[in-house]
Amino acid sequence: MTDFFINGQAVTAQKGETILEVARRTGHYIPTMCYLPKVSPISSCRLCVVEVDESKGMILSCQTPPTAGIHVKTNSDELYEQRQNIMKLYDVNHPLECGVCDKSGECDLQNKTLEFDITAQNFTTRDQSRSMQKWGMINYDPNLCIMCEKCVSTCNEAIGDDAIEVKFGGYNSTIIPKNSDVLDCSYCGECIAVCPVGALISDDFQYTTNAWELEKIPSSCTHCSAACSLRYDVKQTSISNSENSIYRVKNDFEFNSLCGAGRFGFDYANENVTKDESRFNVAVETLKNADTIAFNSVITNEEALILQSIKEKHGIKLYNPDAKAYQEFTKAFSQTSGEHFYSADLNTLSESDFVITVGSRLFSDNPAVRYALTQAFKKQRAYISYMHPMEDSELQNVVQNFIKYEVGSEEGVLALLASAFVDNGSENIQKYLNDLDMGYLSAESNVGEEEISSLKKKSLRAKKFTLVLGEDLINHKNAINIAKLAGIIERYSEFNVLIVAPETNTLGVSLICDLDETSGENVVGYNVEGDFILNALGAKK
Amino acid sequence: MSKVYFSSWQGEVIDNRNLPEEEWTEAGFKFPERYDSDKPSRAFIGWDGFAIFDKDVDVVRVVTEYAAQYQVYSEACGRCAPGRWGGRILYDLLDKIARGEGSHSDIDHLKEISKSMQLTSKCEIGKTVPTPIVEMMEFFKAEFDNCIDNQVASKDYHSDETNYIAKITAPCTDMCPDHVDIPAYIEGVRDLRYDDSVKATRQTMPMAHTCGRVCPHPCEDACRRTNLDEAISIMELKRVGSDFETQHDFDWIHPKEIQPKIGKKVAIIGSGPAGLTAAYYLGVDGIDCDVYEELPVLGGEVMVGVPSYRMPTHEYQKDIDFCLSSGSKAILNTRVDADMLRRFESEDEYDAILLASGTRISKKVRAENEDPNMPGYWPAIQFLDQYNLHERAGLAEPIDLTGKTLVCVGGGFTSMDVVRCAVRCGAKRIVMLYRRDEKTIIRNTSYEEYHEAVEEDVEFVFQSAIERINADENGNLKSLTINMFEEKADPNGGRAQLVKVEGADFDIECDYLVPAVSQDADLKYLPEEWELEMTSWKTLKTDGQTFMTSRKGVWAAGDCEYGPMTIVNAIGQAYRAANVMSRYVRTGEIARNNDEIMEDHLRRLRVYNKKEEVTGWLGGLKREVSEKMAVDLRKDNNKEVNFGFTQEEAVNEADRCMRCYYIAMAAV
Repeated sequence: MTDFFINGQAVTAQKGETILEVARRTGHYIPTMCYLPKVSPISSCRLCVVEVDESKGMILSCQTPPTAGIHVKTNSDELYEQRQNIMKLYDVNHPLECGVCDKSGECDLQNKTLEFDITAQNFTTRDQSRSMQKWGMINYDPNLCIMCEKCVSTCNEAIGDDAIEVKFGGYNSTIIPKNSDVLDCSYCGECIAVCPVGALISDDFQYTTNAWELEKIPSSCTHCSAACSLRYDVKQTSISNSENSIYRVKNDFEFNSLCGAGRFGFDYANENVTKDESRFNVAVETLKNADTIAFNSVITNEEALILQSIKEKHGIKLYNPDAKAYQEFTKAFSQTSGEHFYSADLNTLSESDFVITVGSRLFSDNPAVRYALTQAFKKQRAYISYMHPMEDSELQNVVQNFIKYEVGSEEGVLALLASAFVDNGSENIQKYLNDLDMGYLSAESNVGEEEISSLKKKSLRAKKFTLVLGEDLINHKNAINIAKLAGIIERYSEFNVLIVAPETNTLGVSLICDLDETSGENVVGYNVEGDFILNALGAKK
Repeated sequence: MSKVYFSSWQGEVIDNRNLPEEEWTEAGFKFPERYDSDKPSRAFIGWDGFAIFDKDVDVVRVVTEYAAQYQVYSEACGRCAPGRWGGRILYDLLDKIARGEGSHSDIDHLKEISKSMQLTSKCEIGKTVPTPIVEMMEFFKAEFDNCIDNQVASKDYHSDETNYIAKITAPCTDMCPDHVDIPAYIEGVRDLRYDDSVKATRQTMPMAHTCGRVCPHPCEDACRRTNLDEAISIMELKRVGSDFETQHDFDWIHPKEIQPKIGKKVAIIGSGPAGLTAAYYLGVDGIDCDVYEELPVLGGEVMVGVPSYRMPTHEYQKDIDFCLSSGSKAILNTRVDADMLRRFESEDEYDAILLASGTRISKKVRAENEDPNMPGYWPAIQFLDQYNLHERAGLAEPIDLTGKTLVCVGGGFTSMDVVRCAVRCGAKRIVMLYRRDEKTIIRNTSYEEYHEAVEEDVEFVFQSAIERINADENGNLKSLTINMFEEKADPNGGRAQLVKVEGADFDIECDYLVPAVSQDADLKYLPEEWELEMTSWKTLKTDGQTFMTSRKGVWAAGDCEYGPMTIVNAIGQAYRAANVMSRYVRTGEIARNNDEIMEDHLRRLRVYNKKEEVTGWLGGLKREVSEKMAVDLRKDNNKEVNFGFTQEEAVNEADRCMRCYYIAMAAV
């Protein structure tokens, strides 16, 4: 905790805070162009310079922690003049194409040029010839690029792909794909989201509309159980079609990241919806005679509640094997963990310094978990052990330890982990763990005892532990025992457990619905196969 | 110190413009008046000002070229707004004036953009490139006005006669014997791009693990941050990049592409840091290297001298493997002798030879009754050889000092290694005798090394020396008679003298005496008829620039050239030697290139200015110190004592770095 002054006001910095962070927290405005809270300070725009009475020259507030008692001034004639000059420099040779640029209306360059009252400038320099780059779904226009480096920092620190880099060259600097002629990344599109100007644009969205014409609808993504918050930007489809279409997806990029599924996979929204009363009546009759409703977990809590009400009123079975498995898993987990729910979330994970993941191909199973893993490594240099039948080279820059276990041996793996990391369990539990035949488990799972003891050794100086469990465990034939072992680890070791639900709302369904083990004879399929199918494409038999 | 027509540097202005040459005042700095043995310089311009040697040089063109270099050399830059555009605008405006199309408002714009760059740039290049330009415009206003008022090009604008040779440096880089690109690798840590960090280190230093752990870091003594609060922990940050590569099991991250073999071969004698470094860089250039090593293990003194609690075997092996990864071959258990060397040369087996055999003969302490054959007399090199060959490679018997007393004479790194290894051998009592005082031993080794030794219960007896070695009736070592000294100030103001204190002699009983008072080079293997020139301390003499010995085609680098010195010094010499040898085997020429010439000039000028007032940075931020293993946990084993920085410590420290890149340019 450091006490100091900003513009005469006494403020206190928490450990690790910079002058800029304290200023923002206490309501003192400092302009920035390249600052992005979710990555480490980039220091390229220089707009955030401040004056400190006790120091000569201008201090960069985004990367400097305060020292006790200093007097910081966030604005002055001198500072304003320098900030104006920096904005003038940013505007030098920037193509004057606001009329057609896709960023117009939400562009930081426009905003700051206006803010700093730049009506004319007398700096000139020779222009360059730079060609547009087309990188699949992402287009890069180096002429519009102000080299704020938000994109490369995001790709490296928040996502972990590290697929783009700065090509140094002074005035000729530009962004290029890293170690490759063409862009080779997971196409999350987060670089587009963080770009403050129109340099990086989605190919899909380019030239389609102006930002201010779009209606903004907050929503959440349905592609995986992370259910990330996002925003659908909609407008009428065309001059002749007044129905709204989704033009693009945006996210709260300052603090969170959205994957490519959420950002680019939005073309499955219902369209051309009509009502057909006769088909509706057929559906109602069929439902009265059905003994089972089969459904998947890509539904809202409200729908789940309706299905549950139908069951309670009419005794119809509810069949959803995915959510059922998860329900059984979490129930067994609670039996030994003593809690209703697992204790870790994405925040816990990103703040950990020792992580073990078991049974999930995180890169594609759940990008939000993967991003949290990236952050755990980048911020704490977390020791990450990735346990799975296959290594994943995409994660090599973040994972230090790959442990390949035999397909299907997840129960043995959890038992090995429990015996290594649980040491203050109850008498029964310690006896159970001591009685396990480690040699046998090790041989069957192909996880060497030295690998486990090495893992244990690496954990001795760690402080925050997270165990991530994936869907391979939930759908395992010995899932119940695995869940109980996981619960033991949750309760009797340093680990916080995070169970990655397989589908979008597996969790919601598992909490709301009484699910049946088996399906019946007369099955109505709600968005799934059945004797009678109710879905968005129209009810059909 | 330098004859100048005009100079302005570190605030000193020497103006000889209206004086005849005989009356010129000398500047107080070692400017590169002579560029190379056959070429004088016309002017020199750098981050602090400029110097003009030839009064006919075109000053307007000089500053224009200097601004151009900022663009050309921008592999180091382009990462801040004022630097990126400001630098370009500087050049465009200066060029406009220089070619005769300028106006006085351009001068005003130059001053305005210079001020912005000086106040808000990210690194020192942006902050210092405008300095000499603004000064030149001020002191030589007439020349600039001439171009503007008469709309004429500057006098040499269209001429190709003068070469403008630039070099990027930094105070820390300059001080480092290997000129490592320190600001770049620190920036890699700061940006969380560890692959970039290790790549930057490996531009000149292939042993990032080693020099990130066991360097006396002379760079930190030239760290500009000291002027503000405390030096950056430069050494500690070096291992972040290589640890990343090793821990994540990446393929080797090479700084540049390995060239295909060009059919040339070089023999390297010795596989220590010097030999391996040369092998790496020659291999990058496509040259085949055979590295001959007489011991059964590679790595030279770092492998058999430095113990693994300071330099873990696994990590050093990674460095060794990296060095050989560019295509070189190592031949163990082979002591190269005179016949082999003759054959190498005469049968054209090799196009060049590098001698990197180190200094492996422990010197005597020069006490009465000193007999190296006396049981109990154990030269440091032999002691450490056995210790490390056992501990690292299982190739020697372990040393058991239980119940024994060991006395070491020394004060350098070797002696520290001896006493701390003795701790780990279970010695009952360990004494270090040192001629000078505590302050000096810290300066000669390092604060960390000395204090860790003290924590491990090594007894230090300062300002002492052995007068006599005493044997028992069987001729075994029994005790040592010690003299004590004190510093007597010279009444005439000269250097203080060490004077023996009368009546302070005492005896120490001991089982082992380990002399660690420097080493001599073992050069008996060289053919006598080569008659290689030697230095007065009996190492191989070279010019210190190309590192070729007095025999054409034979180079020397490392301890066998310099005398016992540091790892980084060996690497630095080997890097230079490798580059010169690479050009030699391809073209037959033996010379430095412009980059190397400028490097040597800057070293002579001294880049670091400890009196400089640093502005634009907030002082008072503390230097991070990494955690070390507790004494009780480390005293009886060889586990690495230094845990290295945590992520937080590393980033905090990297954030303090001010990226002090400077550009220097010579007009020749």
